[in-house]
Amino acid sequence: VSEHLPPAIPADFEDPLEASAEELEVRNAELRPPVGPTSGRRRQRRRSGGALRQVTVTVAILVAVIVLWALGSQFHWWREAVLPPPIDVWHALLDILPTSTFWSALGITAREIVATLIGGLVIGFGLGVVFWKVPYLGRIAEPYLVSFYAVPFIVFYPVMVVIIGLNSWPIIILATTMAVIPMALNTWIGLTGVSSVYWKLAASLQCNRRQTMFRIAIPAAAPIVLSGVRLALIYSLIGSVSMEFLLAPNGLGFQIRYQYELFKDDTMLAYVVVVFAIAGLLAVIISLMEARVLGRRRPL
Amino acid sequence: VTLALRRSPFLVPLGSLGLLLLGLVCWEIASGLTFVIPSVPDTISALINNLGDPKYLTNARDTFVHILVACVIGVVIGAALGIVLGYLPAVRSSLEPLIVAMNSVPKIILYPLLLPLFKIGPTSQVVMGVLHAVFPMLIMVTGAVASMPPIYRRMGRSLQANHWQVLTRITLPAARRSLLTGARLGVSLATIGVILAEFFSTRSGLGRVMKQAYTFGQYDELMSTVLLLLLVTCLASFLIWSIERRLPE
Repeated sequence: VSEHLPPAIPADFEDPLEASAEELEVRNAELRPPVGPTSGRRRQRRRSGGALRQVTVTVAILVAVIVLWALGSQFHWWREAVLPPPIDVWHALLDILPTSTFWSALGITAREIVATLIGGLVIGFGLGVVFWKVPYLGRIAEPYLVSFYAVPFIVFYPVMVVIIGLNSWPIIILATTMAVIPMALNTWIGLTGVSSVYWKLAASLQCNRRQTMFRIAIPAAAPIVLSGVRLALIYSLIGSVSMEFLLAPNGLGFQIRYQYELFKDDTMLAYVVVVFAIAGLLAVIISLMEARVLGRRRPL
Repeated sequence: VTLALRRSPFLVPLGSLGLLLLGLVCWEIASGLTFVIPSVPDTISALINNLGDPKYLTNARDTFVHILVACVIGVVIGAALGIVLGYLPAVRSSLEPLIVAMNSVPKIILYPLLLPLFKIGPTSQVVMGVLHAVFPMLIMVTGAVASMPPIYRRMGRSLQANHWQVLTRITLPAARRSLLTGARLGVSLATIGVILAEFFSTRSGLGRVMKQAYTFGQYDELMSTVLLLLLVTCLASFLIWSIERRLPE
């Protein structure tokens, strides 16, 4: 829903009728649903110049931000109560790293993210397949899916805490709900949008149902399904940490709020830095995953 | 089923309505099981009571005005930056990792940092809403402008359109679907931002009403406020979606 359909045919596609037999063989290999390490490597080689520049620019911006932050603190562009100097935050980070408080908070948040992700992907994919197989169900659920896509489920959190109790479950349930919707919607749209040529191909190759599903339908729908996976990942992090920040027994979000209320700004910022690092890690995982699965296909 | 669908156009809305009723029945059954879930009639009557209460209405007005302002600012900034980045492929690809990472940061953790700058009050809440709403819009519009067929712009050039005309007659219409999707997500995310900020610390607004209702165990009050927020955001997103759906491919 949110992303554009990729071209079903690669941009460098030429009419195979004009090609020799060997060329045809090579091209057919390239046209196969690109899964596996080969296609990833090929893409990396093609884009390695871009990747190098991306890394350089990202690092340069991060360094610039830290330098500005340090200069600002040094020359009192702002009061220390507004933003403590980076060196203090660095020391606070080194201080919390060996503590069990930090590791238990990280562990709880990580567990919530993983549980949410698994729940969101499995349930979302299942629902998407059901809506695709039973179009009537899909049609009647569509208005809800689309409006729930943009519903702030976090507002339900206090209600869920009242019902279930103050533990990880309300967070996992709500964050899973947030993750399921884009996953279901994108799986459904991806599978519905598979070009009819692919079904004809499956029929003429006499694929059985499983082969049709796993060798043809899913690879063909992969780009759109993947953008659902990406949203599910983002929602699992945003959902868990935000709800912990509101009200929770423990977790990274809770620690940020707790340290804030203790007026320990250095420690609070150290936790903020950890959350930023997790977000960065997730972004790297997403882009590696997309590079690998989409292979030679153009990025969306 | 497809044939039957074609023959009677009422089957789909009827099914949707049935799904809604099913949901309500489940809620009613759940409320019978535990006292913390208020029943459907109780919640609705609490909602109607609240809407007649001038104090509640002030709170609701504050919150919705903040959400609207945050959403508009977020959408405009996101769209403007998105168009600029969409036109500059080199800048776009170098900034991409940072933007993607920022998009998955839970923005609420920055709220304690915003408070000393903007003080507790409407400004910091709106800033929070804008921070939430801006990134999806930015990513979506960037993608749409970047993937616009190059022939569109070539056509603009050959018709000797100036920059403003290219923007309003070619780029914006080409990206309209993404603009609408971004706006739809913007409504939801601005709501999350504003409500989270109000929940954290504020003097007025629905977030505060919810927090109070939670603290004092007034579960019908809590549920009816949640319901109000859901209804309003659902309605907004449904309206935007119906415009989106009517656009020609």
